[in-house]
Amino acid sequence: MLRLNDIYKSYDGNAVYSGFSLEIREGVTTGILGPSGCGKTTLLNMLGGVLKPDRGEINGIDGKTFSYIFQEPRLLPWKTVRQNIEFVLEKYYAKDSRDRIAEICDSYLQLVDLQDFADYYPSQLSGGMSQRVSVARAFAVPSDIILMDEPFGGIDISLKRNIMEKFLKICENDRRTIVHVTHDIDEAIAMSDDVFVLSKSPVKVVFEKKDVKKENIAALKDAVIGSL
Amino acid sequence: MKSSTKNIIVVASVAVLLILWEAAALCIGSENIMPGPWATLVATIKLFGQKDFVFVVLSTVFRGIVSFVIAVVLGVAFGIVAGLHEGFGAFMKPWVVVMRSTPVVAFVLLALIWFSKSTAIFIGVLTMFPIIFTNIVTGIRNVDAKLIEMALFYKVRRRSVIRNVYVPSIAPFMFSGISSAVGIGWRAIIVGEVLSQPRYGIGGSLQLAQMQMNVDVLIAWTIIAVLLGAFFEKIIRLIENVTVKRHI
Ligand SMILES: Nc1ncnc2c1ncn2[C@@H]1O[C@H](COP(=O)(O)OP(=O)(O)OP(=O)(O)O)[C@@H](O)[C@H]1O
Ligand SMILES: [Mg+2]
Repeated sequence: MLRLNDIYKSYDGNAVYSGFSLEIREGVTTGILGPSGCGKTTLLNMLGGVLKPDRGEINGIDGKTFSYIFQEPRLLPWKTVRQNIEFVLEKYYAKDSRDRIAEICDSYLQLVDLQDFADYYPSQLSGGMSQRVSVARAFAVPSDIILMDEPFGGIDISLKRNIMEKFLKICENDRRTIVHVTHDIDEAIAMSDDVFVLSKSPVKVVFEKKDVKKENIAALKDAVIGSL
Repeated sequence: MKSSTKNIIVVASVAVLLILWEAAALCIGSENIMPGPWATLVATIKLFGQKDFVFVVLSTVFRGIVSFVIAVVLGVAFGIVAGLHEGFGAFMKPWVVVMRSTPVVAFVLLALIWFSKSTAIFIGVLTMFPIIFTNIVTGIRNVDAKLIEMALFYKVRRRSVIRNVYVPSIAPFMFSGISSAVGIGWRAIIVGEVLSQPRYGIGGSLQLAQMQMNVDVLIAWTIIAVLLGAFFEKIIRLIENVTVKRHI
């Protein structure tokens, strides 16, 4: 269990979090919905251990490894697609041969339909293609927790559906802990085990549902919309 | 513009310069005061035959290399610290402003009193250091914080982050600093030599030619200095092209 306990966080005196608590189950996908600017990215940054809360504690993240799909691709412009993925893989496969690492890169590039672009530089890719590289990078890393901030922004619907399907398959196999921030209610419901809806200033949980897959989708969707 | 067209324009520009030069020489009508291009070429070729020509050139090149190495080592080291620690950056700022805005000649005159023999090296360091320093600081400040944060989330090893994120972002700034430093430093070293009169040196030879009113020799040495300066900048460009990959 990842546990945020009575969290306070302000930026320049503006309280974004004040007395916020949340529990996230491990080994499942948690979808997080909420209005723009409510503090979703801030939440992921705190979970990833890169941003410290002003007060309160976050349990269950010590010693864990992370992947992060950012709102924007964040690729190293001087490295090819393949080198960008190798950059974050190095640490995990230090003892493996270069061929093995290349093989892993290729299989995840296949996942996002970019197998023919391994030797391209980010400047030669479109925004959506770059975002797909960022998705491949996150899944290629055998991390404990994957944090995703609008991971499919800029990726067209059919491709997105395709990636989501493969994604669900990987999740079933790997049982990884995934925290998925999105604006898209259908996406959240389709992909998550648990769903949270947050409200603004300061952040509160206004709706939550465990084991979404067992629920009636239409009724759940209405409930989520009602809470927003 | 097509590169062949550009080449033609460059050749034409040089031709116009030579014609104006020849015209000026003809007007003045005295080889001693204003030698034409041809007489200067002859004087330049003669320089190569002079018995201490190699010593003179190598002495200046040696001073250039020594002060270049010192300036790069200090500039990069201080630049990295100043780029990473805002406080140290603020501390260095007035020093660098003074170094950059004081006329070279003022430093030379002071250095003559303090260092006499190694004045030219000191001047070289003093002119090149602030340029390299400033570029390194700018380079570090320009490293994309979002990329550093990405590496932090993925817990990429520190050494790998330095090698794969910091160095490639700073390298273009460093090279642009180094190549302007070389151009400015080389000229400053020769000014230093003119006034400090070391036994061998291009600056000293310029000064001697001036005193003896050998205008053709003076211009010939100038041409050699210009060619060497261009040669060094070319080498820096070459190293840059080999090491820095541009895909941005
Ligand atoms: N580095 C920062 N400095 C100052 N204020 C910030 C900073 N980061 C976020 N904020 C503020 O904190 C609040 C929450 O920001 P956050 O980025 O977490 O929102 P979000 O839910 O991810 O929004 P979006 O859905 O638009 O991405 C916003 O009001 C924002 O202005
Ligand atoms: Mg956000």
